[in-house]
Amino acid sequence: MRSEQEVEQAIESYSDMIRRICLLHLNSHEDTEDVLQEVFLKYVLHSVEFVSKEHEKAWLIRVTINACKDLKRKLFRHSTVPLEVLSEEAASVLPEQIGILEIVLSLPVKYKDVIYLHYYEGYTAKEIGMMLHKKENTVYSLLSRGRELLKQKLGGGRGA
Amino acid sequence: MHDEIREAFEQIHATEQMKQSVSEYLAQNRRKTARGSIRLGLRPLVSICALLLICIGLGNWYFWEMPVSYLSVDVNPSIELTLNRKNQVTDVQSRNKEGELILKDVQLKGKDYLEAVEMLMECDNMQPYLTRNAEVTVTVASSKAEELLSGFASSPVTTYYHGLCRSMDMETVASAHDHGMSLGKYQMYQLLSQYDSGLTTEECQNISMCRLRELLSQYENGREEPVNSEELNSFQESCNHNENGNHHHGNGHHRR
Repeated sequence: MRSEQEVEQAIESYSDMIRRICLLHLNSHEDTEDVLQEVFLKYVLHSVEFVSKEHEKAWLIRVTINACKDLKRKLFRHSTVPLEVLSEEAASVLPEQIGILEIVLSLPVKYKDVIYLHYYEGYTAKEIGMMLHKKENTVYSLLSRGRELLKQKLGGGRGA
Repeated sequence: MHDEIREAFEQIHATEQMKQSVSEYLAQNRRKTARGSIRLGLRPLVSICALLLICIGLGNWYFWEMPVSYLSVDVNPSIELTLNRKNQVTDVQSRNKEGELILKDVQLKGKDYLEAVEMLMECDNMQPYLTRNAEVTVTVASSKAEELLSGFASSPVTTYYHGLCRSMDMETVASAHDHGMSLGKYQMYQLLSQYDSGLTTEECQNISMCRLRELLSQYENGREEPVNSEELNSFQESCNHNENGNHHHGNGHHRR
């Protein structure tokens, strides 16, 4: 079991990332809190040492995505309702960026994770493939198709 | 697009409330785990204590409660004592109405078997039955019957009340109990039924020991005809009705 100090440090470092992944999949703060609790409990109980910070982060991303999917299955959640979720963020996010987020969140589920991991977290297709247990080529296809959809929704005038 | 997406997601943060709730949840979980560990640690100790208590309970029952011997006193009142390993009385049962009357006046539980039998013989309610012709019969069923019977050698039961002390197989105890009879009377019934197969346990139950003894004596001296109903009625009168309540005296004897 990990020490309290180690866990507090992880909460401080990774809560924002987990919150963002939850935003892609879930539609309420309560569900996000549930996933945060579950992910960090797994982190506390995970006895295997991480070889690096990157390894630790990739593990948390994988666990978070799985926790979100499990929670949706368990609660028979429908697809996310981006406007509803984002309305809770409206106070702290600029209106223009709310629009971008709305577009990302409106993408089909299969594109959202790869788009986020590539554009925000900066992972390569190969790294995303390892993380999500998908072939590199599949990730390339998802990224390419997702990018096209984003361009269409953004008006097609902006480059990736 | 790259920068726009990054900047948009950059605005999303976990709230302090979310972080707080995670910390509290984990702390709560740690406490539960700690309590679980304590419980887990205590489990062998609890098991050992439980086992010890069971052993003490069984040991207590084995030494103080487990029926080891049965002893019946039949005059006409029929009383049966259950004895433990230490030859102390653990249970007392009356086997007829007269016996019930006797037991109202005496507390025999916990007494040594010799003391208990003497108390029975000396209690006021027993005196009317101890006439000259009365047959005091003590019957013992036990794996150590010899030892118990030898205790009566110098007891007033034999030296003063002229009692007969006999032993009986432990296997027969259950049959006697099934018929609601004391050991002594059931043994007498077994002897009589060899001569008169029509005699029932219910009939014997209502006849005093001295009458049964009298009947057995008749059969042993050559009587052949079975007991008729008139005789049965007369047998059901107690011996003391004919004997003016005189106590009998004389040397006791043992019979096996």
